[in-house]
This record gives sequence, C-alpha cells and structure tokens, in this order.
Amino acid sequence: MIEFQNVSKRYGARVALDDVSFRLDPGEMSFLVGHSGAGKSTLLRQLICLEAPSEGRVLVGNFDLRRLTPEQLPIYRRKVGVVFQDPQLLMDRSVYDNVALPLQASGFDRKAIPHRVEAALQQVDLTELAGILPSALSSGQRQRVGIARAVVHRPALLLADEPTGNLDPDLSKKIMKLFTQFRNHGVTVLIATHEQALVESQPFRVLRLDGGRLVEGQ
Amino acid sequence: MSVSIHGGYHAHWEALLDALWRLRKDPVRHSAGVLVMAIMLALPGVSWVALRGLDLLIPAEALTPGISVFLQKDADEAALEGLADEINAEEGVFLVELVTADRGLQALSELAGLTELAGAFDTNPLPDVLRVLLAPDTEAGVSRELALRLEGDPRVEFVRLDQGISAEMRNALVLGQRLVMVLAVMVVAAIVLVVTGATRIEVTRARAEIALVDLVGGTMRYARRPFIYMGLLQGAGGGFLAAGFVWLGAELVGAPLSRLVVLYGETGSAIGAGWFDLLLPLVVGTALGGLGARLAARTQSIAFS
Repeated sequence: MIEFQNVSKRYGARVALDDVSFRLDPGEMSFLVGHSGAGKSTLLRQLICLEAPSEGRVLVGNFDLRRLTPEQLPIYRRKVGVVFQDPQLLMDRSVYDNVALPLQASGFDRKAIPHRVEAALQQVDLTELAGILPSALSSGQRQRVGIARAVVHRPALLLADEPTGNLDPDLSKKIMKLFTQFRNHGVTVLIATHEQALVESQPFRVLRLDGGRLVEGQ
Repeated sequence: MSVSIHGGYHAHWEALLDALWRLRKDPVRHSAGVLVMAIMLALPGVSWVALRGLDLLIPAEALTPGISVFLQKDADEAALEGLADEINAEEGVFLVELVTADRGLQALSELAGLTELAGAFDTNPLPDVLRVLLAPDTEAGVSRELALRLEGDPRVEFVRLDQGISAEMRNALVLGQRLVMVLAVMVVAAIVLVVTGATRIEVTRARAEIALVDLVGGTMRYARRPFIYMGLLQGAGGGFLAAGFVWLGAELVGAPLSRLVVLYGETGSAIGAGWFDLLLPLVVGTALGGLGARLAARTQSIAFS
C-alpha cells in the first residue's frame, strides 16, 4: 500500500528525512514515533502530497507521488483520510456540513451523502450532534468530528498526526479503538505520535524516526 | 472507495446556494458593494438616456443648414419664382420652399396662440420668404457666400443664415455621447476592480477552508465556484438596481424633456428608458461581476491551495 524508497527531504542544509525506506501492506496499522523534529510530520506531508521528496520515491497503491499531475492529485487525495492534532473544522458550518465536505468536494452522489455522513457520525458516536456548530463541542468531540470527516469517503489510507495530542487518556483510548476498527475494515492506518505509553499499549508495528533516519521498523 | 461523480448541474446549484449563504453572512458589506456597482452602472445609463432625449429637441430639418431669404414687399410672383429657380440651381442647395406672407402670418399666429393676430393688421406686415435648405455636409463658407450673394440681389430685402444653433447643439450632443462612452469604459474597469477586490477579501477570509477542500480531494474549480457565483450575484444585483435607477432617472428627465419637445413643435416623441436600456445594466453588471470574481478567485485560490 505504502512504499518509501530511499526517500530524503532537505530544507536547504537541514535534513528532515534521510534515506528512509519502508513498506506498509494494505490493512496494516502502524505507529510513526520519534521526538519532536524527528521527521514525523515531514513524512506525513510527503504522503499527503503537501511536499515532494528531494530524493527517492513514494508509492501509494498505484500512485507514484512524484509523478502526480495536477489533475491526478485530487483523485489521489480522495483515497486518503487525514486526521490532524487540531481537527481544523470549519467553525461556521455544522458538524454535518464539516463531515460531508470531502464527499461534496469530490462530486459524490448527492443523494447518498446524508446516509454516508450519518454512518460516519455513528462510528464516532456523534449522530445526535449533527446539526450543531463545532464551537459548541468539547475538544474530544471536535477530534471525533475530524475523524468522521477523514473516514466518511471510506479512504484506503488513513493518516493521523498526533490525533490524541489534546485528549485525556480515556478519550485517547476511545480514539485508538476507532482507528483499530477502521483497520479491521481493511484501511491502512499510519499514526504519528510522540506518546510512548499509547504506542506501548497497542500491538502494532512501530516506525521510529530519529534525526530524519528510520531507526526501527524497516 | 467508490466515488460516483455527479457533477454539472448539482455542483453549480450547490455553489449558488453556498454563494447565497456567504452573502447572507455579511449583508451590510455586500449590500454596500452592490449599491456602489448600481450607482456606477446607472451613471452612464441615465446620461445616455438624457442625451438621447436632448437629441429629440433638435427638429429634423434643423439638422441641415439653411438660409431664410426675406423678399422685397413689392416683388411680383414671377420674380419670386425666377429667384427660386436660380437658387435651386446653386451648388449644395437641397430644397427651396416659398413661404408666402399670408402663410407666414397664419403660422405665426398659430405658434403664438394668438388666433386673432391675423385680423389685427390692415395689411400683412410680413414679407414673402424663400426657405433654402442646404445639403447637411455643406461647409459654413459655402452657405455664407451664397447668403452674401443673395443679399446683393435687388429682389431680396435681407438674408438670415439658420445653421448656427442646431449645428452647435449637434456638436455638443456628439461630445456628450463620447463623454458618456468614456465614462462607460471607466465604469467597466472600476466595477471589475471593485468585484476583484471584494472577491479577494472573501477568498482570503476562506483560505483555511480552501486549503481544507484541497486536502480532502476537492478541485480548485470546486473551491472557486462559490466565489464566482458571489460575483455574479452581486453583479446581477447591482445591474438590477442600476436598471431601476435608469428607469427612475429617465422618468425624472423625460417629463420636462417631453414638454420641451412639444414646445419645439415635435410630436409623438417618447422620451424614456426602453427595455434595452434596462436590460443592458443587468447583463453588463452580471458579466462584469462574474469576470472580476473569476479573476480574483483564480489567483487567490491557487495561492492558498
């Protein structure tokens, strides 16, 4: 599903990723760990195509991310779901509208959108709050809205950048349970986190970055 | 993942609803923008309608230069006809018409509304007059020379050149029409700038949303579309209001102009805004709104993607 082939990323003289190679199979769930500045976010940005590697290749499914044309980029991104530490919700739109955004933006069948949104909100247990604005939600609820938005279009790959960073331990466990459910449905999940306790509590593969180099989990 | 594409009509309808939602979020600011556009669009529109009304003030025959030849009181009919034939043979002469003294007195009494005027004189004090109409492109020097020659004729009492006022009015009208055209071009540029500026602000405010749309697989076309519809709606609103202003302006200017036209002896002239005068601001406003928004949305959204 994901294959990094000798990927390096440099910002001037600073090396953010140094000859990183690994492979994730379809339906596999992994943690991407490392200290702050180790290169976790840089690696995720390669996968979301916010940046291109300085060297090497990133393959996701049938896509070679360096060779994506502007027309192919939205098509690729529709196969990826992204969860951020700050869920980046549209505060002037309802929970429903926030979750429906990927479907509307990708030209999904309009009649099928309500059903899909309801199903996604059901997965994160927020069906009752569909009509309210995000400003009325707690941080945990907002994070769950962000997760519903990331999975509403049933992506093949789910990327999460510090998804439990702002949450208490109980909520973190619930969120991790959700990711596990998605993996059980065949979604490839890659979670970037610096929470060692969270990683140790889960039986999944760990990719450890240190100074831009992959030191564990090749 | 299965995504069934249902583009076209639905996407545009949703973008239109989204644009209306965005306009409703800040009605005061957007209404002010629409009003500014309406005023700018109405300025050349009202001016054009008013100039067209003024144009009607100039009688058709007054557009051609002419000479009134007042004849001696004792000139006999044969002499008059001879002189008329001589003038007719002159270069540039379009028409020679004899206005007899009796006809002149009758016309004068009718024009002044003094029906008893004709009976107030023992003898008609007016002379016979030859009205000479020259070709429209006759140069002023040629008509002056003809007038001077006629003045030296013993059958002629005096001569009056009639080309001054109408020619000057016509020139002033042409100048006015050109100024309105220049104003219209400036208005077009100003409206595009106004809409571009307003759309830039809107897109900048929505930069986080645009970046998010980009990230979840939306195309830039999808992200831009609501802003283009906003421009179209604002332009249409401005054009609609401008049409109202043009109609109102034409009504206000039309009534006094119509009275003037009647005084000048013209009849049946309708002074006011026609359907074309009202449709034009609407079409132009909508087109310029869409154009300005498209220009701004394109450059700004790319910057935020």
